[in-house]
Amino acid sequence: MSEPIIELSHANIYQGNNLILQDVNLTVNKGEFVYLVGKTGTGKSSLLKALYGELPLTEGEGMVAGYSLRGLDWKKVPYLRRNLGVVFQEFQLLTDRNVNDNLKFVLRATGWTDEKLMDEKIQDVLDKVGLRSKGFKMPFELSGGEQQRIDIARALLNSPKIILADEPTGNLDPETSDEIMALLINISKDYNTAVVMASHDYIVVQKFPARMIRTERGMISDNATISIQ
Amino acid sequence: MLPSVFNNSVGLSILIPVYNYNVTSLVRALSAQLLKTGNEGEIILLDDGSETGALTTNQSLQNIPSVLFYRNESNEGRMLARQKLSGLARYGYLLFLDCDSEIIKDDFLAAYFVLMKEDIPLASGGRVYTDTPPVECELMLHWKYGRKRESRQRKTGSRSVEGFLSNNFLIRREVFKILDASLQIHDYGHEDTYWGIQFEQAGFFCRFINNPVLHAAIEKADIYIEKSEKALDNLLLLEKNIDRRLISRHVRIFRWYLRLKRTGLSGLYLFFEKMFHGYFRRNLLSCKPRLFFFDCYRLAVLIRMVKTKSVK
Repeated sequence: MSEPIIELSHANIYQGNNLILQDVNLTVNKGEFVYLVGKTGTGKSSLLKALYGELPLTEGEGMVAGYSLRGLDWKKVPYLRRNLGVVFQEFQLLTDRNVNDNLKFVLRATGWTDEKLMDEKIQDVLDKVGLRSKGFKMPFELSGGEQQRIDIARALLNSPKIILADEPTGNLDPETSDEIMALLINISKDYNTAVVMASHDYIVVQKFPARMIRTERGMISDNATISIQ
Repeated sequence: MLPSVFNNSVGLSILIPVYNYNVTSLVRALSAQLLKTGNEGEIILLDDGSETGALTTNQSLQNIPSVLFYRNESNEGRMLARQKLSGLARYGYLLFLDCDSEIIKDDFLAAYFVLMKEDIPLASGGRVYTDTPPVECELMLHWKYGRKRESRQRKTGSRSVEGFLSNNFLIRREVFKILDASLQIHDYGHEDTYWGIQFEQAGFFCRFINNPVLHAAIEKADIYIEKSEKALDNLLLLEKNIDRRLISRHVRIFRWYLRLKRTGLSGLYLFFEKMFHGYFRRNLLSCKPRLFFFDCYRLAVLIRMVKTKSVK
């Protein structure tokens, strides 16, 4: 049975005093893969920011990973975000340490202390992105696609319920883009993690069809009829 | 690169209050690293009433695209300068750096961007001092204090506000806003203590990460002692406004002071300290200063200050 992980109902999304998106009704279920498309300035980023707790929700209702967005105390926002893994278009690895130590740096910074558990978790996420053997590689020894995979591994470290991916194929060649897309789609299916991916890349969207949410003229339209091939 | 939807949340405002110090190499290093990371960011300098020489040199840095330069006509103190800087910042994350910092890690800013991606609300990167001791004896006290007390290596991720150092810290702008600006601490010392306590009270624990800057400017011992005495004055200002138990958790000298007071031994302590006062001072100015003597010396200064103030 489908179980919602993101639910917005009659939500009006404001950036400052400006109403950006009106009457947003949106449900994303666990394990679902969804594109978020729309021209710059149509409210795509405002919608993601609302999901991310960056923009407060003052009108309508919203639930993300069990947290109500309406009146969410900003001190609770970091707890909401522990349930969200964000994949960025620019991958940022610390160049002075290997992949394992890069991931360990993130784990320590987010409160992990047990060395054994950390090692296990790192192996687990590297497995998930297909880079089990690359833990001891230095960042300069990795290709662009591998670095993006490590960034996805980073986003998976704290077992997020939702992955928000911001143009994750933006800097990659077409072949590597395909691999990253296949990986994200598999993660959504195999680990029951919802993936919301913002994209401008219509070639990718056409090649890997999925449900598409489009922002335009202050509204969202939702093409929920196309399923993943 | 395509515009990022998360720009505002991962953008960084690097804020540096400047007073009589040439920050050219610091700013150039930061600006180069910012460019390398490819992230959104800005460097804002606020000159806090420097003399003309330093002012003119630093002013020319605003030609670097990511750098903004502002100035106070007169010196208002680091705490007020930091508050002003936070008002000028564009981004959701603030990185405060002291102007006498030197960047020693190639990934210094990249490490902070990694933390920002993880939404860490408050993190301190710490500071280190040079491995080799200074040649001049008069610099030894500050160097030794810095090495032994300030640049303690802690594990990345350890949670602590105790000994919170504000020379190099990352903070979400909303968290910075919780600071109570009503108590203004001028001069030198214990703003860190005050802020650390306020963060703790609001439920924010600072994550220590091993991402230090080099503390480049070391003071001569006589000036360092004088500044430490001023810092004790600030401590007494804090005592009027904050629960003593909280301060004692953060400041060792204050812990000792409370113990002596409780046991009624402060008079006796002063009596003995007076006999050694000159010896302590000579030692602190020498090539082999002992930090224990520095503590004893400051403890006596603190007790005397309290006595003088209570007589007034």
